[in-house]
Amino acid sequence: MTDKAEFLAALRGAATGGERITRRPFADVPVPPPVVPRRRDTETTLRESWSRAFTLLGGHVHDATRDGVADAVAGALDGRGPVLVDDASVGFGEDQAGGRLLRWPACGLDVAATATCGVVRATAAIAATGSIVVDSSRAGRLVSLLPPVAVFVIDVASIVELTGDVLRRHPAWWPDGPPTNVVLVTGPSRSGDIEMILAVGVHGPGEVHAVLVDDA
Amino acid sequence: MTVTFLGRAERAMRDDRLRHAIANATTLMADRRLHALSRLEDPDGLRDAARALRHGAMTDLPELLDRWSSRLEELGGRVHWARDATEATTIVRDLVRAHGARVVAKGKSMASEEIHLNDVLEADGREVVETDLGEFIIQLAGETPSHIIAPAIHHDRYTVAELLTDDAGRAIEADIVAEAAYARARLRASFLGAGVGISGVNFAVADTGSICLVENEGNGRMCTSVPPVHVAIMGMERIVRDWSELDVMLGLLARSGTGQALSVYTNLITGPRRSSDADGPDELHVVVVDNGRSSILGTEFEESLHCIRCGACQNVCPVYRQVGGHAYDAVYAGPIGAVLTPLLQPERAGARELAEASTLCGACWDACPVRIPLHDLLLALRRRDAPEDAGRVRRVGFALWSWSWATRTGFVVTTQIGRIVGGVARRRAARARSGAGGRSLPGWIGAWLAGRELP
Repeated sequence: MTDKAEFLAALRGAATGGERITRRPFADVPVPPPVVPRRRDTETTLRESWSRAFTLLGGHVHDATRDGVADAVAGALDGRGPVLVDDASVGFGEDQAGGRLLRWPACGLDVAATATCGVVRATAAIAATGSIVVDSSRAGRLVSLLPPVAVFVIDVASIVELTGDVLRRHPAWWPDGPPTNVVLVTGPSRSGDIEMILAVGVHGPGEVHAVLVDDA
Repeated sequence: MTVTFLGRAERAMRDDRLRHAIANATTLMADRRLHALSRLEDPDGLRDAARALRHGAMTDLPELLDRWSSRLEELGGRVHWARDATEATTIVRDLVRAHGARVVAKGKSMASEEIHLNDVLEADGREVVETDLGEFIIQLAGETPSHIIAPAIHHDRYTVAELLTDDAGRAIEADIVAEAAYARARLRASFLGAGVGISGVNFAVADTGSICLVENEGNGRMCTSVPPVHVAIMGMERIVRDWSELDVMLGLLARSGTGQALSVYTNLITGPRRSSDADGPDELHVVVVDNGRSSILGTEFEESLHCIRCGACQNVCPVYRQVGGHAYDAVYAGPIGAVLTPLLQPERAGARELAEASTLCGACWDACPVRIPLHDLLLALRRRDAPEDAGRVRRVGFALWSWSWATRTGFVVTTQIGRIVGGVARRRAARARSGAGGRSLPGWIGAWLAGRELP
């Protein structure tokens, strides 16, 4: 309710006001330093490091060729359905879903909420943390969120080493500026809120699969 | 509620279940933090850099907020500015009213706790559903969070089962998986039916007008994606300059909090839904809250605004680890709470004594990802308040103390007294040990001495 100019003017007044603690001097940081693991994995490929990190988080990895994506997705789903997909989806169609395919957003929220599995195309993956990057310019947000099982289709060429390779180079990933919603997904939904003991699948998917698509 | 910190602390320390739960949780989190940081190439260098970056952000705070809010509004978001809690809650209440939302789904937000948002919305006839599992538990219990990132750590599966059983009207087993499953099913309906979703903000990125929200359960994604309106509550100091700076903060936040490399969901939100998006809220509002922060800016306490809310200082604090969060009777507990509470709410009864709730050991400083010298700040608070707060007895006491160390006469007199008293005490203690007499000295001093040897 306070006017923006008024709000900021109050801060401008304060920021030059009193004396600061100078006893512990601040480091000189011309650019934010990178966040780098202690042992950088130079022996193995990004694909292998990512797969290892993702598996440690509790994820399941499936390999596929460009033509075999739909089959690999079907393998991950193991006959379960209904399956939620969106328009920008992955060649996974009616045939593989056994007629239990729900198209987001056309199917509507209440129907989407009944899906058992969701299949989305990922933007990238991060080897150091085992994360998957999804963004709203490529995939509906709710497709990888509402169902208890999520399948991410990831191009091997899109795997990068560090979180910074996505965050710090965001203009390269999204030349028109960041999309509305970018999520770094790092493992299955989990909570340690009761006794710090892990419970998976609290609100988001408790079971996560990755189909790694390799053109090589 | 007992009036003083010591009274509340004493009560907490008599509660074995509470102490066990807190010791268990804080020890685990502290260990995981060490492990996670040890896997970075230069964690201490990163922390020093993070401290400097936070300092830079505070120095340029008005410019960064200006740039961030202009970018966000260009993208169709609305930024609201709230000087205090009343303004902030009124803004949110009016937004919820305007959209006629009966149910509000809320993700974890310490800033909303600070402004007591739920009370205001509930008084306005709305049903506010806390959707983070820990927050849901304490909402059922009618409590406040006892830890910044693990709000229900003072509970265990048995007390949770009682709360959930009451809520469900049927027996919920004291089993963590079953409890989480019940919460998932119970809260899913709230997400789908909510007219407004409310979240906190971990970071706002000035360059792109984005807000960043980290969480593990997916409730944050739900609150910011499913309802048609998303309202985010943000402390005004949450700003970072760009995505490189964000990378540094994210690299430290989860590692310092839970020991994860990243939280399960790192949400980066840049404006409301665009025409090409399949889903997402049509409206995005961010309420920027001052609520006492500008009175800290530019003072010797400014570094308390650097805090990124990881909870590491709570996990290592020898006081917090014994008494838990509720003993502080404040929104922010532990070392950072002992600093922030008296600064943000100077008029609040009992706020100033929180600076005494510390051993000044510096463990908090050692654990802080942005290296806030919390013990320095606690000491500075004590120094600031001492002239006003000290009673006559304390004044005389400290005058004597200072006399005994600062003057030769004082030193000689007091050491002689000490020698005589020590001699008596030693003889009494020896008699007591040999079984000749009962307790050597009366009252608490006797109890204290009973387990000790004199030199």
